[in-house]
Amino acid sequence: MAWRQGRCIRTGVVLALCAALGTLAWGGSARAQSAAQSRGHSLIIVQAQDPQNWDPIATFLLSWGMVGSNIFDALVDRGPDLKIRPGLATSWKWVGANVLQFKLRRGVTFHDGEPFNADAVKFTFDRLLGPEGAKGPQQGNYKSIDHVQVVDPYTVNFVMKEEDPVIITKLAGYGAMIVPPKYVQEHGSAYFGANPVGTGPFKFVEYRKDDHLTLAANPSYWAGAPKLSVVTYRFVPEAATRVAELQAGRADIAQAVPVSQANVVKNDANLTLMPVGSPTVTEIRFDPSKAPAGDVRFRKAVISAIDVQAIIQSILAGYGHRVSTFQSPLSFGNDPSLKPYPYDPGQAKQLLAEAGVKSGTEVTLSFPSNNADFREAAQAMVSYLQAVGLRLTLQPVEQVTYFSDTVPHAKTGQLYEFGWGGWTLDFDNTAYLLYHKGEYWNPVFSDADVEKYLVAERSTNVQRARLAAFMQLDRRLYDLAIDFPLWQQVNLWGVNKRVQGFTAPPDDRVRLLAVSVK
Amino acid sequence: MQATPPAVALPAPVRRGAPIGLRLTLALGLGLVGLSLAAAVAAPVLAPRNPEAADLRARLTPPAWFAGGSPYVLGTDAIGRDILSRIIYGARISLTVGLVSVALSSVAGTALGLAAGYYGGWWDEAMMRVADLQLSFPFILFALVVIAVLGPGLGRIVFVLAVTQWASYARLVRSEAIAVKEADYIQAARALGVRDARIIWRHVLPNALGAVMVLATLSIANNILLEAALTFLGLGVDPAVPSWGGMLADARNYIQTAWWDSTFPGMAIMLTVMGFNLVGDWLRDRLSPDLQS
Repeated sequence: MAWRQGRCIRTGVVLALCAALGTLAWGGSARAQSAAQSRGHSLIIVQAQDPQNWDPIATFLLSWGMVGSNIFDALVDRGPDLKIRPGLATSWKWVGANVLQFKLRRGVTFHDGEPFNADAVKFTFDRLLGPEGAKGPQQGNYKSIDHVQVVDPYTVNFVMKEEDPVIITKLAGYGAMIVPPKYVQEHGSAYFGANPVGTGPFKFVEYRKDDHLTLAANPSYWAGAPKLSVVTYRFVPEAATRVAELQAGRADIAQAVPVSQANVVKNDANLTLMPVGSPTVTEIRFDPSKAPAGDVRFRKAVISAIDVQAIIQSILAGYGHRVSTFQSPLSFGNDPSLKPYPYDPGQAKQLLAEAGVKSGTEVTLSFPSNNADFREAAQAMVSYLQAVGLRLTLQPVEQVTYFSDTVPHAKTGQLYEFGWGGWTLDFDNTAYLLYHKGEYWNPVFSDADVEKYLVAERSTNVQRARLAAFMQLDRRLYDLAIDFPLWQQVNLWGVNKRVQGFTAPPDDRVRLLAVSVK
Repeated sequence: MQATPPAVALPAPVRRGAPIGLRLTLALGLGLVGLSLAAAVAAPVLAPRNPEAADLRARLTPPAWFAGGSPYVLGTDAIGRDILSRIIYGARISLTVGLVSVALSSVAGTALGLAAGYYGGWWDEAMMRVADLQLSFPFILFALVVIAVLGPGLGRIVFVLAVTQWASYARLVRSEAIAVKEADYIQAARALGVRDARIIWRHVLPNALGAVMVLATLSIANNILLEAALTFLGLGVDPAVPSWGGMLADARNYIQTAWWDSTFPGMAIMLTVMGFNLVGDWLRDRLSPDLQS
């Protein structure tokens, strides 16, 4: 009978598992290292997310930058020290009030043999600012550019539509990656999105959706040939699996090691744990269209009821820094005089009573299901809110759905998790895309004062005036408590000791040009 | 007086005195099932603590018998909740899913199977082809699709399990019904003008019931496992609600640093499933010897 057979198979599986575990415990670490060594100059990186589309203008995901930063170059480049340096442009200067001129690097070719020149730059930005770019999330970052003019084959002018104080930093961003005109026109954007071609240190070889992507060294790279021969990125959403792959020697670098496994990596003789403070901040946003989150007293009550510092100390093992607005202290526009609302459950109860929120009221917190650290923090929040009489329901949502549907279409609960890279290190990018009404990430919230400060900050290039506008904006957002900023993230990378020259990047943009293996 | 021998030989009674080993396993099975039922019913009385109350200062406290003697019998999880209390409350989810899904699928499957087997014809054909379709569809895939469309939740899991399992009951009952409906006493009842509904209710159903009960008991065990698996994958109940699968999912990052976090919920699943399986095996031996191979 089927049942009997089933049981036999199950017993077999259990025995096999036991045997496997036994072998692992027994000198597994030495074996793991030889497995890693046997790969020679090829490197395997395990990362949590597959961005699905490799077209630079179609993405906003840090997981794209981990890979894309090795395939593509932009006119300028921002290294792991977060400083701007020359990229495909060798120099730049303002030649008029609204004209920014770039001198381009000569003798650079795309991976398919096309030459890099002023036409490629013009094509890239025409595409980004045109209808093709309008389909993706990158165009919004570059709306201050009116158009690009070709001056000669190795000189271009960026003609600006409005002031943009962070334009140089933005030109190191994803959307500004230079793409090959002939290749894109011949094959179309859909094909390009699955078979990217750039000028970077590594060439695209193969992509299997949700499985892996392979790159090979570009020996004629303008800044010298890379030391690695092949790099494979494997997409492993499950954090414990990423760490297991690293331990077993089947991967050399693991991104997003969860705090709960930090010690596992740290205590492994073959591995190094690399923590890096990142501009990424994590918060809970409120959806004011869903009762009772429209009431500022309710929002402040939730904020007062949760001991964020205790969560950082325990669940994040100290790998996080408390923030008071939705930006890191690295960000231009951060007001250090604002202090986070203190943990005060008594105050929370009082606010809830004033707002007329009854004890036992149910509220929902949505979050992407693969975020292991937040999942634990969320469960601690259930307990904190229970203590002030709120019943918190957790709603984990599959991450692709979460970012493409749940958040932009306001399908979350009253509370939802949100993380933001803050990659320009200037609050403008964050504030505009998150608090200006009608943006992709802000389907609901609007406030006249916030709009006023956003306009004020954007209408000048004078940094002092901008900072003053940001201070007003910070204060207003803080008073409205429209979001509950939690912490600036410290990212954990697990790296096999055979890997040399790897720097854990604060902005997740992995650079492999200088990386080698022992 | 001498007793007259019966005209027809009675069937030999099925093993009246079961071997001692069988009785022991039955006792063990009943004990385990009883234990989990008691935990589910009397959770608020039995649980030493609030299963949702976290104490971050006491996170990952080892069980009481370890050095230091913690006040938590089976230790605490990653956010400082009492594991014993969560296991006791978790029995509610597991047993609810196991019992309700089996009740739904067995009642529906039995009704459809009786109708198909007794009446035959196009109705039987149609029913059995639908059942084939249902049985050939991979369960996890079906569960993923349904939950992706409807969203996760306890009700959805019960629904998915019930929908995927009715076909097994329908087939089983149909074959019993076909075997029985040609029997002389059914023919006689028909000749006497007894209505179909009554024949089915009084004669066909009781014949099939033994096999249904065996299948149902074993399915409870199976469904408890499937619920744990779905919740582990994040498709089940709210992560904050104590459930065995959810506890395992939360504990997987701590397997190497806090073994108790995953071991005890795992044992709860194993022992409950084993209990239902032992009872199911015994029922099969008693009620439906022809199911043995």
